Amino acid sequence: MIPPSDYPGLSQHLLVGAVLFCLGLVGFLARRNMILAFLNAELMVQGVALNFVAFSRYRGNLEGQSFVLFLLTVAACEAAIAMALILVLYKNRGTLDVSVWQELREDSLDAVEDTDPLPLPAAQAPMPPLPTAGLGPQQPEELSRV
Amino acid sequence: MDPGSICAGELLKEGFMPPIGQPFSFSFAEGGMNNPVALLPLGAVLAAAFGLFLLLPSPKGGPRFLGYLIVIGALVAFVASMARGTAFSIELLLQQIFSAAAILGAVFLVTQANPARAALSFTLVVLGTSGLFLTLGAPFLAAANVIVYAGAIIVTFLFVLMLAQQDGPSDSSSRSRDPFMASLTGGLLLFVIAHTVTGDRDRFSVVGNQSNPAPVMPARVVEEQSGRLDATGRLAIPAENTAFLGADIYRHFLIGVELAGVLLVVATVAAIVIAQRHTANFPAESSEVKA
Amino acid sequence: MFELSTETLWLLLPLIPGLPLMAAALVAIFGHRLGERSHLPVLLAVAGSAIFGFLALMHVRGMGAHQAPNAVFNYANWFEAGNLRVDWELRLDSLSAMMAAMVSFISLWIVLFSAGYMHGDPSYPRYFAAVGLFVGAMNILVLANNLPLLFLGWEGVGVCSYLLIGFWFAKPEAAKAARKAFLVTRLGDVALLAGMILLYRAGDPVGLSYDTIFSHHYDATTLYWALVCLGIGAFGKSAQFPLHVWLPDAMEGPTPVSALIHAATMVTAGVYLLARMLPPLAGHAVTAAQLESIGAFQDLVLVSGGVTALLAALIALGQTDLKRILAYSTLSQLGYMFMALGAGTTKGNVECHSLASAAAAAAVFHLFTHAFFKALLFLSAGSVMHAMGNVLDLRRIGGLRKLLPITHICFLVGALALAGLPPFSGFFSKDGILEVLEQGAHSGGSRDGLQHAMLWLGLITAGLTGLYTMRAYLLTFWGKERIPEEAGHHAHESPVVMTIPLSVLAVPAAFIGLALGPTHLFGHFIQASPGWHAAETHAFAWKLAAVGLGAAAAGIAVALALGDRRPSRKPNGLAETARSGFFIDDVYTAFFAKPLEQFGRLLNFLDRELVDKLFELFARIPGWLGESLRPLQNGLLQYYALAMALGLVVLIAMFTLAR
Repeated sequence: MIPPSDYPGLSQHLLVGAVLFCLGLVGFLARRNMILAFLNAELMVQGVALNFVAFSRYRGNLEGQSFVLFLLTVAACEAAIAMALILVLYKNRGTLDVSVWQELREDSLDAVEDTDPLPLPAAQAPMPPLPTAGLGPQQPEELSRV
Repeated sequence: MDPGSICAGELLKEGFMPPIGQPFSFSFAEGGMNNPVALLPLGAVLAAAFGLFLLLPSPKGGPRFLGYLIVIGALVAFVASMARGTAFSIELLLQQIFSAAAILGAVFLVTQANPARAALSFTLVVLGTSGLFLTLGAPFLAAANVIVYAGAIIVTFLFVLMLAQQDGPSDSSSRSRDPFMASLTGGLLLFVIAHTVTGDRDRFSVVGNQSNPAPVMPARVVEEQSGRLDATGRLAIPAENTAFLGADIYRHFLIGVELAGVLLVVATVAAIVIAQRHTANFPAESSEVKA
Repeated sequence: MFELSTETLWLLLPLIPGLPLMAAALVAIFGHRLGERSHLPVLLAVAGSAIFGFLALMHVRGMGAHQAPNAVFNYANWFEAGNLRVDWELRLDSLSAMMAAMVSFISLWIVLFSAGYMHGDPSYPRYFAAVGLFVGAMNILVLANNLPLLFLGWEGVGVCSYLLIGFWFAKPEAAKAARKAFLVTRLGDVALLAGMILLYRAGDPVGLSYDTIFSHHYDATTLYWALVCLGIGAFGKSAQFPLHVWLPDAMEGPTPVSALIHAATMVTAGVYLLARMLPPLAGHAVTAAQLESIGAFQDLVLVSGGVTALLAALIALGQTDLKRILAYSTLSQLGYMFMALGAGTTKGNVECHSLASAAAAAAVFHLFTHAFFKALLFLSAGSVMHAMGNVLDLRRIGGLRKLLPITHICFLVGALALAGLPPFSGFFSKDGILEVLEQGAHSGGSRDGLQHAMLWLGLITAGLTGLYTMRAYLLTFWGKERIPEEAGHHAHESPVVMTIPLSVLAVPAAFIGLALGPTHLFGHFIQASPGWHAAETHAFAWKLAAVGLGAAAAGIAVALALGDRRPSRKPNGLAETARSGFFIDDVYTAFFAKPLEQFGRLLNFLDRELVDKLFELFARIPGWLGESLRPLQNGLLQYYALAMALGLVVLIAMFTLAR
């Protein structure tokens, strides 16, 4: 059998999984858009899945892969319900910002608000005017030369 | 010992509370703290964290190009430094490419302000990990990953983004919640995990020694093993991946499969019920005519 | 010959204190249901005590001819501490039997009187519970065979005196008087405890029962200091100078209480203690040093008794309140008893042990007769108070002899006994004391001079006694009849329930001295107590008796001459000095009470500002902790997630990095 210290590849895969997980964590903690926060959670799941599959490969069995299968299933269900909830929350407050939901704070604290202004949206070039559908553009009549 | 609980088992063997107060020793690669080479991973992690801090969206906006350079360079250096001493092969090259793609996509996902672009970066991540699955001998999972994630989840996300989109900079996309603490936490966690993972190689060995006896595989696992050895002498997973995978889950995790089915149904029903249009839930639309 | 079996005595003896205690407990628990009938259990119990006490007395009397009756009854072990073993043991000898019988008998009539006097008082049950407790404690005190048990009774009567003086505690003067009584006697109690400790430490075998103490030979220093400490205890309880200040104020309590506690029983506890301890200890003193110690101690007692007697008599002259006059006369008579106790052995003269016993016998005899006539006087005053609507100011009442005939006769009997006119009992007992003082003055020895001086002092005081007693009598019952408005419809003779005790007590006040004194019945009886030497019978000292009688008669004559001149509304300087008790109270207040009060205020301030604030500081700590942790809960989802992630990092780091 291969001596145990000869598994550098495993640690590399584990490290990639760890990097994905940690990046997902940073994104979840930092992003204020509810959808993007959830997307970062899915990123963390990807990292974990990578871990499982790497172990499965280096152990020579399919335990890890079976688990990843279930993981995908659960992630899909989770995403569906999360989207439904996010939709409801968005319709309730009109924004996807998770910071508007602060009611569970301590009574004596004030709400956290952002004071620095957002940059103005870049001026966009005006869209070209489109004709009404179904009508072709006015073209000068061409005499037929038959 | 159950292989699934390898880490916990190791920990329990050492006793629940580790002897805190003993000298803090690194074990990255060889040499520990005194080895200047070992500082490279630590430095890389710190650089990556710093870069992320610069890049996370904020109204003022940091230096984008520089930030990306720092982050991606640091992460790649980090991963590469862990992979010293491996012989070149096509397999390795592919793994590096896919890993890089995944990490790149992840960085973009975390730092892009525009939600749509972020979602698309996630696609890149998924493709990267699916590629890695492929190189790790899990073709079915690679396909399943792409289908489920890139095909279903990301598309759903994009739909909901479309329903809720706002033009231009907004609170939700242009601001970050405490980027400093977030990057710091991520960096610390990465450091700690990396230390754990690269430390005691013997922890992950299938062949044990006296201090770390080899885990005993349960019978059902042994059943599923093909018993063949591959070129490197390791126990190989069967090439008929899908068949064996199916056999595994239907033989040993049947209840799990059924429950997963139930879970899917429940999730579907729940999603529909939650997102129904009640005026109480949607005060912003109460005056609109129902479509 | 009257004799009881040992088994009977074994049962009977603890019932003498036990019955009143049980009755007190009964009334204390069920008082609110018994209401106006609360006196019944206590009355019956004290009657039982009196009967049993009398039976015990007869038993001892019957035994006396053959042997020194000294039956010790040991019931159970109270406690053991180190080498010291203290048991519940009661002693039946002449002295204790006499005291127990007298206490119970007088208490019985006082309880009956109280039933009438306290009628209508809302706290009727509380009164009788306290009285029952008192009688029980006093009986324990006199029947005890060891000092700790005596101390138990001592403290018990102290507590009851506090409860009863401050019975009407809503009145500030009464509460203050009760506190004062308790605290001043407390000083004595501490000294008594110190005395017990000294005796214990020097003793070998170790023990504090009387037999052990009497049979042990203490060295001179221990003997002196132990006796001094016991003596201070006695001074406190029996209100001798300088611890006498509580007795006059104690008149704030109900009059039957004054009769019981401050005339007949509690204040005599000090006399009893010294009478118990002195003769045997003096009898066992063999070395010159020991004799000197005893002599020095007796000097102390003698001087204190003499000063108290004279001082109290002088103060009594300046009083206008009938009860106060009686209170000071109690002080004076107690002084006499202590003077007698202080006579006796002379320094260096070994043969006067018998004199010590005789002196103690004289003191105890005066205690005995004084109990009867003083209780009689107080109860009569109570009767007057009852009729006059609680007014006893001699400037406002007068000429009551036709209104209150029975009270008048009884008061007269008591007053004559107090003044010391034959054939009333006071004459014989006071004469006995003077006789002992004379014997001591002529016994040859270094203490003669002092005893001689005290003899003259006693004679002068006898004259003053006659003066103030007669004055009080005349001002109350003769002259123009004055009835204050508070009397209302009470101005008539007291009901039967109150006059019967008066009459009953008048008999012994009148005749018991005659019956027991010249016949030496009392003397021989008491001197049969263990440790006492039988004294030879002296012939009746006619000369001294005549001188004493002359002094008393002179005092009475002066009083008669003064007639019923009312004390003026504005007393002159001398009278004011006398009335205020020679300003001793004011001195104590200035030197002790006020500084302590200031100190107490300072401590209160420190307690509030320092100690309480310190604890408040500690109490605020959880609040601060909470306040500092509060901002963590700001309602933002990602902060919570951040906290979880950081915790996870720390946890993993703890497990994997530390090695």
